[in-house]
Amino acid sequence: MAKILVVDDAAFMRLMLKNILESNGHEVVGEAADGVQSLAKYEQLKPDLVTMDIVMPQLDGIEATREIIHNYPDAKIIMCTAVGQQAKVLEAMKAGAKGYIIKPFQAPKVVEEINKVLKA
Amino acid sequence: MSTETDMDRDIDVTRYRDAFLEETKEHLQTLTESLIELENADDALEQELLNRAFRAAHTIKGMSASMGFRNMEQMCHSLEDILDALRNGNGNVTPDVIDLLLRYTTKLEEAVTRIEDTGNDNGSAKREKRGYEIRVLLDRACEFRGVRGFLVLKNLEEIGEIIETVPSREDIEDGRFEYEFRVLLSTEDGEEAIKDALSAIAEIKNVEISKPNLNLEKEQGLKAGGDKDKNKAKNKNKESGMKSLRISTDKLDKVVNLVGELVINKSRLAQLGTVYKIEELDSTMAIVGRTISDLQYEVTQMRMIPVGYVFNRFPKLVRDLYRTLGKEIEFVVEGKEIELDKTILEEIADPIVHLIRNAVDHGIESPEEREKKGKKRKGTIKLKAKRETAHVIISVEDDGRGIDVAKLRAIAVARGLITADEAARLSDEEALNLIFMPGFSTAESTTEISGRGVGMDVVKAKVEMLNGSVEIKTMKNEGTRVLLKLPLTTAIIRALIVEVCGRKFAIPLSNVCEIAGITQAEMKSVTGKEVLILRDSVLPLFRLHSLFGQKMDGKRLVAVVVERAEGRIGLVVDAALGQQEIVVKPPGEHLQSVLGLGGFTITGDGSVIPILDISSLSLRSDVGQ
Repeated sequence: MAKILVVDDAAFMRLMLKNILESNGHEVVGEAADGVQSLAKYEQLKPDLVTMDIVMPQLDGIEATREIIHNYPDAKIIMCTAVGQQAKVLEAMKAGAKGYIIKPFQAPKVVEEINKVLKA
Repeated sequence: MSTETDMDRDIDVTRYRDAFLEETKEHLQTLTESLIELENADDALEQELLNRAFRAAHTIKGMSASMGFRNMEQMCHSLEDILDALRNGNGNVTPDVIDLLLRYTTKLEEAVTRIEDTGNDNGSAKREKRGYEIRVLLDRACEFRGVRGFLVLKNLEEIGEIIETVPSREDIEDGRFEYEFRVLLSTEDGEEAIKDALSAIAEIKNVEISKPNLNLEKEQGLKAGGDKDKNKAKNKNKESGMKSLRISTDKLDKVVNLVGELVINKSRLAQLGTVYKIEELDSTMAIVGRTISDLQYEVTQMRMIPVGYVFNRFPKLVRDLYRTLGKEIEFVVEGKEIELDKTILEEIADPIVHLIRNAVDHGIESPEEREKKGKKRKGTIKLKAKRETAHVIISVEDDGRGIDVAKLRAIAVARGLITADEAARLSDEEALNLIFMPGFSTAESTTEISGRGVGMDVVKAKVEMLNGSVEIKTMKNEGTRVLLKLPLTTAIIRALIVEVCGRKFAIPLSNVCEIAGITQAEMKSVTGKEVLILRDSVLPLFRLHSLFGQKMDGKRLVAVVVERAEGRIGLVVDAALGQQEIVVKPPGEHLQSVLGLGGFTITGDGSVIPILDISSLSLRSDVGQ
């Protein structure tokens, strides 16, 4: 059971993800709707893991990831992406993200990804 | 001169190392088994087991000494001392003594692994850089291969230096490879560290790590290394006149695939004979047909290994568990000799561990509780394998407290998985199946042993991925039995062929529960979703017609009831044409992401039929079409 921060500009996606995470024994300790908020929430909550949407207003997910990793090199961040965004996802990994999950979310895949990354 | 003798010795040691390791492992297995059996042995058997254990320890000692593995030699020597004292009646065989002895065998096993990894049995030996060839196979479901590839390389770089990759690094990052790539890594850490580094990445199907290459030269790349290995293997064969040969499973898979092609083409040829009425061709084809089925059988057999390979490590696991928990358990293994496809066996090992852990932790009661219930203090867990026509049934059975179905209902409601109303309506059998829902765990407090995040849902998903099925039976205070029904092989399956809008589809028969004729009038709408009321149960319906954007007309239709992780659904099709053995061809790269598509098969007349993947199809119906 891990403390997770969910970052996505769509409340609907946050809810979907929250349901999957909580029904698999994790705790969603906070939510953020854009990159700037995510930085503040990370500081405040120090979650075990962050799920980070890529396309968001203010500061996008890749920049936010770079920023968080810069301050907390051990942060575990998983990108949320749609199909066909390979280049963006790769960029996020280079920025320090540890994995990715694809929308529409499939619960078993999400759980596998999160458990793997948490294990590291 | 002294350098020369050192070199001679070096050559000797490497030449015999594989043989040494193989034999040592066998003797270690005997040793461990004898020690575990000791616990329940009577006096006569005890003496025999002590002798057997002593002989095994003695043999390992001798071999280790000649290989120069001083550490192992000394451990065996101490083991011998204890065993000898026990043999001569100086001391009793108590569970604590057995614990102590088993700690030695664990240490010996670790030493063996160390020798495999580093060529040395001493943990504190000087650290040397070694080259490992690592083959990484990604899951076919992987969407962004390049990203996974990048993560693999990044994690490997944290423990060593990447000398070369095939394909190039750039190609890997851009996803230009067919699910598999190779990395030559130079590192001071061993195989375990490599596995650890890769365990944090999802969607990796398999990692193969070659034996370390002791003196790694930069210019000696992957290809050159491979050739050298081949030559070495060839020489070795010549020297010892080996009767068996190691073949990588990849190669075997290719042969299986080719045989599959043959099977398909055979039926095409046979059809030609019938169409053009060539009698000679008919009779020749009959013979070719027999040869091909023999070939198919032999190839399938080559992939089979006895389940004992995996089962043998369980007695120790069980013992460790129940000793920690203060329980008394007799662990019985039956059917070790039953054979199963190697891939299936490997995949199924973890689920079995999970079932055994559950049985020890949640199933069997404490000795005191058992006595109060009038049961024997000692519980029994049985792990059985048996062959049943084209399946192997693996069962884990305990005589413990059984699963409290009422509690399952309550928990499912508390977790918000179902409503109280729904819970009340479930039959006991259906309620028992709640345990397979994702995120479900009945342990009130998760102990160190179970509740590590792998639930029964994972067991079920794994078994279904292998085209098998799970069944669970329980009786209050009498125990629980979980049956895993597995196919012998995954390459050839039985499938139901159905027709939709004039097109044929195959549904793996292992998913199919029943087939029912229905009319449009029987399909009801409940809260906007189409359902079928079949006897007492309400089945959500999925119209395969919608895949083609077509409507059905009013004629009679067929509902194929299939089982998926979340429950049963009915697939509406125009007709069920019959069942058939089919060769599964995985979908090509560009079709990987098509939901609901599990692959293709080619029939005798050369037509290509898509195989439906029930688990992802159902998901599509959840999303709404």
